[in-house]
Amino acid sequence: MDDRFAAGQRVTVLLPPKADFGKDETFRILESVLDRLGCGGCYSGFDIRFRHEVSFLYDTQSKDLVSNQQQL
Amino acid sequence: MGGLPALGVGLTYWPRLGPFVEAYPESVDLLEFQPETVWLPPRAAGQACTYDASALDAVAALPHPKIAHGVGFPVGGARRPDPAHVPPLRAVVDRIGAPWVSEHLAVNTAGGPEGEYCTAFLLPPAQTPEAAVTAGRHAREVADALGRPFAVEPGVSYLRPRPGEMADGEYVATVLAESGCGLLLDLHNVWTNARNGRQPVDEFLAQVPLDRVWEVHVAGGSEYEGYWLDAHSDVVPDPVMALAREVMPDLPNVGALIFELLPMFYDGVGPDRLRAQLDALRGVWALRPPSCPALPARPVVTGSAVASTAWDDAIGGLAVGRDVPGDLAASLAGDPGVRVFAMLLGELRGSMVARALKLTTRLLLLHLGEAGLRDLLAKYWATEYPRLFAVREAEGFAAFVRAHGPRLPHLDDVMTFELALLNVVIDDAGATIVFGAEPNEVLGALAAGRLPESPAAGSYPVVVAPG
Repeated sequence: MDDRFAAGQRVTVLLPPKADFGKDETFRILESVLDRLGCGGCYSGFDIRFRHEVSFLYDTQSKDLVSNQQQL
Repeated sequence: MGGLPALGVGLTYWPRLGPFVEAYPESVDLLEFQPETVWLPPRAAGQACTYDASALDAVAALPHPKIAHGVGFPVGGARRPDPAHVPPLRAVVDRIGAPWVSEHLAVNTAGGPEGEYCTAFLLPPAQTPEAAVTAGRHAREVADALGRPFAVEPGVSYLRPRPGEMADGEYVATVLAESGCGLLLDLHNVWTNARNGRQPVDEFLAQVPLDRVWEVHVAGGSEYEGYWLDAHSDVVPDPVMALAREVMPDLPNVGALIFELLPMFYDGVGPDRLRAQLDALRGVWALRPPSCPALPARPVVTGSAVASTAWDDAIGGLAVGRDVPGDLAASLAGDPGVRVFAMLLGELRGSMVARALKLTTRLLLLHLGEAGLRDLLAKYWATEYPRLFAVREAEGFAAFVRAHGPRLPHLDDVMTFELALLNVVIDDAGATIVFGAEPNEVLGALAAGRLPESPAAGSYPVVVAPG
């Protein structure tokens, strides 16, 4: 999303240097701290963000999630 | 009071919709902003909420007129809304220059054996004369404290109509008479209630004073086990559009027509359908009466009745999954609509944890599976009441996991890291978290949706700092 619309107080994360790590992935999920903090919106329906996390892991074809699911 | 400005057709504003608003300026006349979405929780008990000034500045800088729609301090309960919320609300409203403010005619505070708690989810109010008078008084108090025109929005109830209760429209009309406030008429709410077996739309509209309607909401929803949910998840259903066209000519004081869409559903709707939706609503807006006359002076009825908290405590306790004693709770528990509220509240609480502790949630999902994590969440919900702010819900869950959860590799480091990430914004102070394994590997793997694979053990400081 365009940074102009993701405004909010910035947070800096300093990680130990590691040359082969793809930092983009980490910083992408850290970019909207404000969205993690506050109240949700006005509605009387499903908040699907938990389900989104489940779907995300299925979409990445995580064998861990699938195998654990099958054991339960 | 003079007439309110006729602002036109708008959207509930979310940063996710910012690019759309900028790309299609002709589609959006105004924005409705929900102040609590930029609020930060109190730093300590007894303190007021603050807000993220930079996020608020970004909203204020948008060129559109803006109105404010509160989501955290409804006025429909027996308990007075916490007056500590007024200063930060007023600050936000002043900053965006909202000509009027609205809140929900709902309940989100209840009492239990351990005292009062927030339900986090908007629940239906008691529909008795005493409750209506009390809600009207609370609405009037908030309006006076804000110093702005104030409107109330009747919500969605998945409960069956109860014997002896006021009809939905009668209840709303009484609140308006008691408060002198305006009406935010959410047509999707009215249609949803009727579709789920409550008062027919025509009866509701015949009972409420349409000249008090300052604002109209429309939205889309979804089906769930025979119920239509007010999910704000799609474009407006055809019957609701037809209803809007029918009602709009009868609203002489309407100032805005707002389409509500949650950002998590924007990708499913997409910009083309959203533009088409707003264009269609522009056609509805054109049907309003040609002039916007001054609001008629309305005497405020000042009843002295005081509502009992019994309803709020019963519906609240049942929604949060507690055993609630008494005949009222037993009667309510037989209504399948209570289970709908409980299910929706559970999804909200799980989602608060998932958005506040994203990597922690992934780590738990990868180890426990969805069913295992849901079981852990249910155990947490059985011991802790909901919190209004996601960060506080996350803190509660993290404490529960540390005390009662499984011992999993990297779990404590990742939870501590994510909590520090949140609290640095609230406290404006940094923190150093010492990971017991190479943090790039741990965080990177979870960000990519997989478990870390043998990260090197050691002592690795990670600094989280403001700015």
